[in-house]
Amino acid sequence: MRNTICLRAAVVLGMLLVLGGGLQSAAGAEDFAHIETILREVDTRSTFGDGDFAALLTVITEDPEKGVEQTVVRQFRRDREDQFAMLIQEPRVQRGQGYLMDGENLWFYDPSSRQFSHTSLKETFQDSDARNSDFTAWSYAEDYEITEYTEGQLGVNSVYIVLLAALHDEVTYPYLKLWVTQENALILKVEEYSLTQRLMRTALFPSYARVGDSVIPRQMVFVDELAEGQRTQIAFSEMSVQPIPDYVFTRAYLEQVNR
Amino acid sequence: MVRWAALTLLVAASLLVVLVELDVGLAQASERDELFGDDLFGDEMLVIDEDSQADHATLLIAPGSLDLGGRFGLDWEWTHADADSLVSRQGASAVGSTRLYADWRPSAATRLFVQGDLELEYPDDGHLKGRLLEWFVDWNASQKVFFRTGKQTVRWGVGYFFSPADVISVGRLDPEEPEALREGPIALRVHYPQRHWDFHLFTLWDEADDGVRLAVAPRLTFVTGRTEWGLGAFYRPDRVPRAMLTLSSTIAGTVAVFGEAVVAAGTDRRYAVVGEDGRLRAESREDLQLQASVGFRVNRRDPDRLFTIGAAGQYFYNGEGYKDASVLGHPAFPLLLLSGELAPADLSQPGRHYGALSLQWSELLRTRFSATSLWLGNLDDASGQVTAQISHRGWNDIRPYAGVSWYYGDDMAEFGFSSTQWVAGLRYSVTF
Repeated sequence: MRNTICLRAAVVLGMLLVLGGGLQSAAGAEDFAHIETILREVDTRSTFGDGDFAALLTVITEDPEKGVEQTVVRQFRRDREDQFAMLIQEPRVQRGQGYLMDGENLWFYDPSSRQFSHTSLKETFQDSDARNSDFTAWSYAEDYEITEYTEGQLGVNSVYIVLLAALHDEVTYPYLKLWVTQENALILKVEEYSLTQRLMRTALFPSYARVGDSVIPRQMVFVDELAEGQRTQIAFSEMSVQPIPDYVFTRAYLEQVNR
Repeated sequence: MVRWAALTLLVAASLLVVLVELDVGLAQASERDELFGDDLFGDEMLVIDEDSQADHATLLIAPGSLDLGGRFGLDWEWTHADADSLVSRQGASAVGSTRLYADWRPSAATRLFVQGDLELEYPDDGHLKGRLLEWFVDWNASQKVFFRTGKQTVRWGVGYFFSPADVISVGRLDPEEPEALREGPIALRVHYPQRHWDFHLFTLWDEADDGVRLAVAPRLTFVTGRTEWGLGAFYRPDRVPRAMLTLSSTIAGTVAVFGEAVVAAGTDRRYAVVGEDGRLRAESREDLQLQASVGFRVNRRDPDRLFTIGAAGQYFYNGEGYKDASVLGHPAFPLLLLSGELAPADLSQPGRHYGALSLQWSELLRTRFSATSLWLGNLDDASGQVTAQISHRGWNDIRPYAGVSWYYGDDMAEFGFSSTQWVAGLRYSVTF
């Protein structure tokens, strides 16, 4: 009799646990959908759909060994065609160097040898802590799946803290941890992890700008977590959504504007 | 007098640059303190509306701008080579060099560009040497068709150490300095760019003793997926016609790969051959010649930045080389050179199979030292050279370095006649 009662109790307990787990999963799936919506909104707002975008970028790299280096870059983006061009204005030693991306291809132009060479979005930008991929539109919802999330606080901002895992190997980092504001879906901080879950880089986005229908960071700070004291700050200015002539996204233009 | 004037100019330029750099450094330090504050998220996030009316595209080609600049370098070097070495410079030497350019845009569609080098070397003859590298005019038709006329550097092929497809550059690609600016031809270039393809047409001038020779060289490059293809041709009445194919791509987004193939209806070279009578003579080849090359380039950095490695490698099949280069060791061979039946250019890359591999380890184990090495070899005669150099990041644009070049192979092989050479020096370089 006692055994029967125990068995029934175990079955009921098991059913409750299964039911509870199911409910938790259902709630989780629902919440993931909410977070997924937020990520899609983040991606959409970081993209200049049918328009163009141009800006002046000031990249300041702080390296305990090399000191402080400043690079000034003029950036042109045409997201609907998956194109961008970046032209380095300063320092003088790198003036005239440029990047041209068209779809899956990215070329680097070096005026000192007058050569275009294939490069990768995963490469670092001008030996800074920024990657070439940091200058393109975000695609978190497309490239990653949500594995977990919690609610938290960052400064005075209420945020969702979201863990993401990459869906393919085209991305620079396979695992991400995002801090997204609950109020207006702005990404404030991203921790980027290697395959072995080692923290590689932290990205901070302390201020944003609304340019046309898009919302993009005005300031980005990339902290190298493996090299103490090494970080890169990128500040955007002169942001414009005026139409950009087609010829800007050609090699001829990169050659034309270099020294 | 000219020498002292040049030296004064070089010293004044370097002082100016140091002062400018000092000012920029202080400004940057101040800016850094403002930018990297710890309390980044202390205030509620605000989204600021921005909409600049700046026309970035035309700003960069604004008419009336004149840009002057260049770089200045001083090298102090000590060289030691074995007594039987053919190295021309032994002991201590100093070289001062300046590259200057002027870039003037009289209108948005027009640009004049001049670039040249000045060099002074001790204990050489002490004469100031000058070289005009580029002088050209750019203009365009409604930003659709682009023209460049004058002496211009041209990158025709995609090879790194060897580029058989580049038949129009005047300067040879030096495997020891593959990224250096090469002397180009005098040409009119017409460039018609489209999104997925580019068309170039070169008309080349070459002044010969008996007048100007013209050549034409069209090239079409296009992109499929992650690969860029190039198809080109070269025709000059007194040279063999050539057709070429190039490709460049990336593997897994991290390894750059490239290849070239050139087919020529004969060769412009002349060859030493032993006739049926046993006598040595020079002759031409008129059969189809193939040259081809494949290579890669990759840069990797481990998470701890202990190993920041760059590597490049290339194989070159030189169909225009000798199948059996032992004929170059024939006792009568020097007579062919002395009589002019063979020119020195006919002896360039005499083998059929070549290889090159370079490795660069930057900031060794996160120190201020970097190391580079290069292997360059003729696979036919099993000769080659291995160069290794270590350098320090230095102080205030002054970099110390030291290295060794070791040559191997038989005495009559392409690289075998040189012997080990040691160098150490200081290099000062600054851009202004």
